Amino acid sequence: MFSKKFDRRIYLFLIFVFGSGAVGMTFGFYALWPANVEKGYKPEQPIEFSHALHAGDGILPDGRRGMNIECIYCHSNVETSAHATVPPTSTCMKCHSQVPARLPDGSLNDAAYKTRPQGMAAFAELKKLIEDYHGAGKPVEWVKVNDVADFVYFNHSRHIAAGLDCTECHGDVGTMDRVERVHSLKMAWCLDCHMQEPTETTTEQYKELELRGPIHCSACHR
Amino acid sequence: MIQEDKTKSKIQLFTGSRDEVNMAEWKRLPAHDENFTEPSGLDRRDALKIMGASAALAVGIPGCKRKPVRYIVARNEMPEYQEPGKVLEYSSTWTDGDFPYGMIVKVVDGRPIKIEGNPDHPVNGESTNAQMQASTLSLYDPDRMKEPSIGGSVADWKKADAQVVQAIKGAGSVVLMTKSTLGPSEREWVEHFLKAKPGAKHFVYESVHDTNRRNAWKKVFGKDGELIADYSKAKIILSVGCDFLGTEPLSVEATRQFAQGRRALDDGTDVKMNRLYVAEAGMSVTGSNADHRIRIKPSEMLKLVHGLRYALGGQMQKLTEFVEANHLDRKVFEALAEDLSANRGKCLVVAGQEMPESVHAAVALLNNDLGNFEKASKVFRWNPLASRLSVSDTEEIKSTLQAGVDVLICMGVNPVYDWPGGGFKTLLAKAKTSVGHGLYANETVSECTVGLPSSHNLESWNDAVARMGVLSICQPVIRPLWKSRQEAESLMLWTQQISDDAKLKGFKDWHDVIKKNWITKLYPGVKNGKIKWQDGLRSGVSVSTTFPLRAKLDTDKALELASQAMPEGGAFEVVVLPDAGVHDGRFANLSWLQECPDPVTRLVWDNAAMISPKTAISLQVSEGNLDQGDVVGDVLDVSVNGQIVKLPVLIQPGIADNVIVTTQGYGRTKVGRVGNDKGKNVSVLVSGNGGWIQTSAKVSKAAERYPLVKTQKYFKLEDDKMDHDEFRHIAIDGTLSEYKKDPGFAKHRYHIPKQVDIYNSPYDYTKGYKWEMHIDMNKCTGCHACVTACQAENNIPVVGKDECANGREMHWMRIDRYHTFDPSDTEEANPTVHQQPMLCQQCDNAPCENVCPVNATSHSPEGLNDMTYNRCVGTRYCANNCPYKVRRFNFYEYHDRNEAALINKKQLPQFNPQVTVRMRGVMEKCSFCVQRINTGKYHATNQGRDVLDGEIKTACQQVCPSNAIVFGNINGKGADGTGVSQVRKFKDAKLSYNVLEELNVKPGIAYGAKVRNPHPDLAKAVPAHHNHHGSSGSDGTHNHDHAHGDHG
Repeated sequence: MFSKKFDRRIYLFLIFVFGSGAVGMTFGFYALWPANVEKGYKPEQPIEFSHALHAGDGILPDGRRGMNIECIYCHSNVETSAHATVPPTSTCMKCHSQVPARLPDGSLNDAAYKTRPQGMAAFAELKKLIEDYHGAGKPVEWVKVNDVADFVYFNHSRHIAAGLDCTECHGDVGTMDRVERVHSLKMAWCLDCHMQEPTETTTEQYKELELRGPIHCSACHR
Repeated sequence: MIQEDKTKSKIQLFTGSRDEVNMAEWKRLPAHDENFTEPSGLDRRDALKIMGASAALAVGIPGCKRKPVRYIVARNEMPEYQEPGKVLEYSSTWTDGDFPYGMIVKVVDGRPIKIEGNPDHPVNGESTNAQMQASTLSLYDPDRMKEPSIGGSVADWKKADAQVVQAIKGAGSVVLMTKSTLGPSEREWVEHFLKAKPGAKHFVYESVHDTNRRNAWKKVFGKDGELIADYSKAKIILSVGCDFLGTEPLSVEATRQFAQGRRALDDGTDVKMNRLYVAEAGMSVTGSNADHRIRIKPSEMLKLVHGLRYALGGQMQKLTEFVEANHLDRKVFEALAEDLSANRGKCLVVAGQEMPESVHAAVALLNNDLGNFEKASKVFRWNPLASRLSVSDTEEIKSTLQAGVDVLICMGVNPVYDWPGGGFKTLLAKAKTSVGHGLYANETVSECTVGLPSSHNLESWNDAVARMGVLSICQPVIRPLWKSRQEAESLMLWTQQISDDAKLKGFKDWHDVIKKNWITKLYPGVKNGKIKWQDGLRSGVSVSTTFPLRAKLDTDKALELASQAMPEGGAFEVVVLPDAGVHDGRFANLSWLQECPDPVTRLVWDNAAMISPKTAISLQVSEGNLDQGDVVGDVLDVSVNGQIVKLPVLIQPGIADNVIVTTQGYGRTKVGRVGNDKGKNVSVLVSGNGGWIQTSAKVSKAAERYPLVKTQKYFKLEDDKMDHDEFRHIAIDGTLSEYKKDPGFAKHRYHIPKQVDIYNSPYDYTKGYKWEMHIDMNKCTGCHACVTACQAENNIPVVGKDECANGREMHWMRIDRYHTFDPSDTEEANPTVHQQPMLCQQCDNAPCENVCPVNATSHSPEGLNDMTYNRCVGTRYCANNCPYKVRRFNFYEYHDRNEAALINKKQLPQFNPQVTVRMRGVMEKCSFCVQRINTGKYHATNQGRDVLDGEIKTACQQVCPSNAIVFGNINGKGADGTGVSQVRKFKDAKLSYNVLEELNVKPGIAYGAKVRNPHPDLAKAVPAHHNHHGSSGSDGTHNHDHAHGDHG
């Protein structure tokens, strides 16, 4: 009916439309797949708290060395409770009532920060913590990074007692300046681990079932 | 919401053919209204529009966006002992009710969420009643009074205090009205107040009290105090209208002791079983547990007791006359007299608090004749320090107020609502200044010139004396949510301001008073009082018992009092009893208690005129029955002393003929959105000074009609023509002699065909954890504490009266009631009652699991039938396939949208954070408290050990006053590490059986068959046909006819 050239153009056009549709969908699926959306979530926090500085032991860009504080020093209930506990501001103040030091008139001493690269930025963050939050009696609203749905009842203490390291789920927080989610924390990801071969810390109950952990519904949903 | 005028026209269309139905009384029932829209302020069209728009948006924007950003708001300073999500337990005392039980308050993140009994408390132990469970609900009640008011307008405390103090200072006469359950410190400060204001009078007022009994005892024993019965020590118990397992104070302790005396779960040789005779007019929880029940009019009670006394003295004449005059079964009385005389010192006769003084004196004489007050007998103890004060003479209060007083202070009492005979409003108006102090701006407080909000039990300091030597502390677990103050503290502050006594001025607040009293009075001579105070706070109770104390009966005085005859009965008699749920009305705004079915009638959200079937026939009235389309029942005009109350008819077998039994606590007008205008106020039927029994009432059928809602329907479970094998043996009972002959009689009642499984279970249930439950029906009295405990623990919504009428109540646990009639009882007048708790049976071959299209319900390796809400799409196939009808479907997002439920944002803090709050369109059911199982397991496993027997308790088990429920690991060891677990022991007992075992669903709950203990002469051979009148819980998916269902 049409000329060959025109036909070819139609075919090309259709191939282009469907092809780009297919590529777009593949990309879209990949990009929007829940696991991929959740991964890499790295929100801005009200205070630029650096886990790398506090919990890590590497060298920071400004030349300081991480302080290598144990996770449990701040996340103190991780061994006994369902929640690891984001510490109350008073925990920060155990050190930061001295750091930075105060001048005789009561104001914060920024002398030590002036000399350092990005020192004043760090000082501003500290000032926020000490004066705007703790001093004003205002709680810090940390943005939740590693979050599971409300119908999931995850228990930290059980996983710590089974010998898991914090980093297995939270990634190497000690290298993160700002905390980022490294796993999807979706059910499939949980089950990937629970369905593996038992280890020596697995309880008898699940060794019997050749599982590392429970995979029945009420283990997490109730 | 449908507008008023529209509703009427629609209903007229719908019921056009039934003109006799009074349209105004018709309640809107959603299921019957085709144009009904969900009560959300959105009609169907709007909903569709919004749905369309949101669908369009959903295609465009969505996925690229993450879930909403959520925050962790850590505190600045963490309060002592607190960890996020951790349950903190504080011991305290329940001071809301009629007895100060000890309690443990569970607090999560600063919010009290659940009440348990205090195991250290000798009276109630770990158990509670239903009202205690609802304490957390009343704390967060948004209808509570929030700030003081003067003359109806909002004021602050400073102004209110100034006005009250000024009024008291300038007053010539002051009247202080309080409730009877004052703690020792409160009593002390009432004294201080009276001393500081000469001429002030203190009246104790309650609408439900036991002062008739207390006064009688005072007269015949010569001292003030109370007799405490120990039901576990008695072999024969005779209750003369005493509902000691139900509405009497101390029922939690009585239930435990009674159940201890009904242990049957062993091999049949060593059986410990008491025998309970109940003579009563109404049908009570106690009556439904009786071995022999005597239905008599209340006016005949005195004659019954006297007749028994003469019969025990060898003169049968009087008893025979009495029996013949009342057309009763002579054999029962012969058996009773024989039992009593054969068990001298080991029997108990108790009379109800409704009875007049003469009956109590006669009962004391009978007990004395039976040797129950002797030293060797252990059934009675004398307690000189009662937990409650005796109430004042209502006539005296009336005449005092009539004369006109300057200041009237009503503290925690509500006489405008419940004054006997009514009419307190005019008395209150005579006072120049009236001060009302209450939790709600109730009928009384709103009438007073100064209205003051009281703090809740959980926000208050207090002390309480349960009995001689049992003193407990009540400590606050949360700061007052509103601008409220506890009544005692108000009294203290006012007293300080009007008194010259410098000693009284030293106290800053009520906490100071309690602390000082605890340290100085409780531990006299102890130097380090501070430590003892800490100990007291920790355990909540101090026990230094000096029991048993005895009292000597003055027989002459008792004879004199007992000879005061009761007024002769007229054509109709009326008995007014406290309600099993809302008590005297103080709990009327608690939706859990409104929706908790009455333990006997299964009535919800209402009170009624309860009459016997025969009386209903003679009055030509009927009770509405939803099933037959006849929705609304008849109403009776009940008239006493010229006061008429219109009460809807409820027909309850077991009630004496020509007696109308009704309950107090309804017909509130100013309590809150839940309790207002529910039921009828019957306080006008009561006369002063404990006149709950009216012997000459007029009763007639009223023109209007009224719909009552019961959660259980009433129909015959078994047809006369039905073959024995066809009948399903659900609630099995037998007699003691039968049990002794054949301990396994329960299992021999039904036939189990050869059971074949199609596929094998993937799990081996003989190893590891396998959670199972055993419910001993010998112990269960049907008190319904478990139903409310389950509601509190598992965030179960309340659905309201209309939705209950549709059978959509959400209780995960219900108690099924079965009535059996003797074949000779053709009128079906006196039933034998069987109460059976019914909850998810956690079947190993669960029929619900294999019909779920989305695998939302599945089996766990620990034998639990898991329900995963986030997977459920709401097909309701599972509920249809469940033979026990225990699954509940959330039709209308009751937590959020149902007005009657009123669990709005203010009440969200009560939710248990360990349990999902289910949304609409999701099936839910009992999970065996899987949150408690998981928590217990985590705790044990983290310590590298197995869960111990008894370490994990379900909510229903923990609350049960009779310890009828046992839960645990069927493969586990005993609590001491040896032998088998308790649940295994009970399950292996010969009495134990599974309900509907023949279906091969392998339920995880076993029941201990009920063994009745009738007198051997009266025990009948088991009839081939049990004439069971059964009723099954409906589950909202109209399956309430399962008892008729196929028997394939």
